[in-house]
Amino acid sequence: MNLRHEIELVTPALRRFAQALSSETEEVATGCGDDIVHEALLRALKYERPPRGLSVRLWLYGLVCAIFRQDAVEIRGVARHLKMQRPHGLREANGALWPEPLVAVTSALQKLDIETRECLLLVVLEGLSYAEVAEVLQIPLDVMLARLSRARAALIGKMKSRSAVATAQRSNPLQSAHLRLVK
Amino acid sequence: MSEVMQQASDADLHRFVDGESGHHERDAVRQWLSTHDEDAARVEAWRLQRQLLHARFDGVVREALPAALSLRASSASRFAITPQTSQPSASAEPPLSANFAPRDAGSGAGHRHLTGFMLGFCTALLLVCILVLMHKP
Repeated sequence: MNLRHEIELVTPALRRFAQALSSETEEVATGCGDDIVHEALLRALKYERPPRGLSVRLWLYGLVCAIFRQDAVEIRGVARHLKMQRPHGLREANGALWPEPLVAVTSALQKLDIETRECLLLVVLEGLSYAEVAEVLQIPLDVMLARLSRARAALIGKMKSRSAVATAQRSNPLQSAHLRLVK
Repeated sequence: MSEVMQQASDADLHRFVDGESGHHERDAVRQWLSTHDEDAARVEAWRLQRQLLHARFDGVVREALPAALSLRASSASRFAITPQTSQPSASAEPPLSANFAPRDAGSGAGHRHLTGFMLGFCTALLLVCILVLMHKP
């Protein structure tokens, strides 16, 4: 199996990962994920062989993480540009609004720091084993587990506080106006 | 047979949810959760997170690949790496095939231009010399 073929097999999942990793605000859902994947594929084709005996799949995940960290600022600029072409932030591809729980989880995800977010997504969304994630991120297993634990706890906390605010807004319109002002 | 856990650690619970624990460990954690509601609720919340994230992002995997990310669109003969960062404000997503346009085609054309120019320059110089010699008294 050659490199190009292996890359083709991983690309769809890589897009999912990059999009989840990079969706920056609720308004930019598709954002810059594809730009990150694009850059990762370019680098993979340029270097031709994964380092450290990594599989192509893990190598590509690692490249996406590295690009997202390094070029975060620059790529987010491009994402703002792309937003004009893809106005689907709160919406599914067919134009329907995402259900609230999915908006809530995305919003909470975006508030995680990059280290914990990439760890969580590699395990939960991409189904990598702990050992694979540790390899991709080049960190020891216990550090990886600590990040995963932090990510999950933070996600629970942020989703709870969001639903609490939503409940408060529903039950007390005056207070909701106040909350908006404070925000 | 499953042993009774003295205390399920945070790591035990994560490994359980992520399918990282072995057969015996799994049974032990299951038993632990049946008597510890708080941990059981946490594990349930983590499972819900997984479901929500998949529900939110799995659609991307089923989408058709954008042309910019398709390697099939570009034939092997056109492969040569050109970084895309040179033109940030231009089209945001040029297809990979466009990025892999052969690099030496441009430099080859440039080479030919240079040769032609030199040839013309030499001919003109020769003509000037001849004219100068002819007009010499």
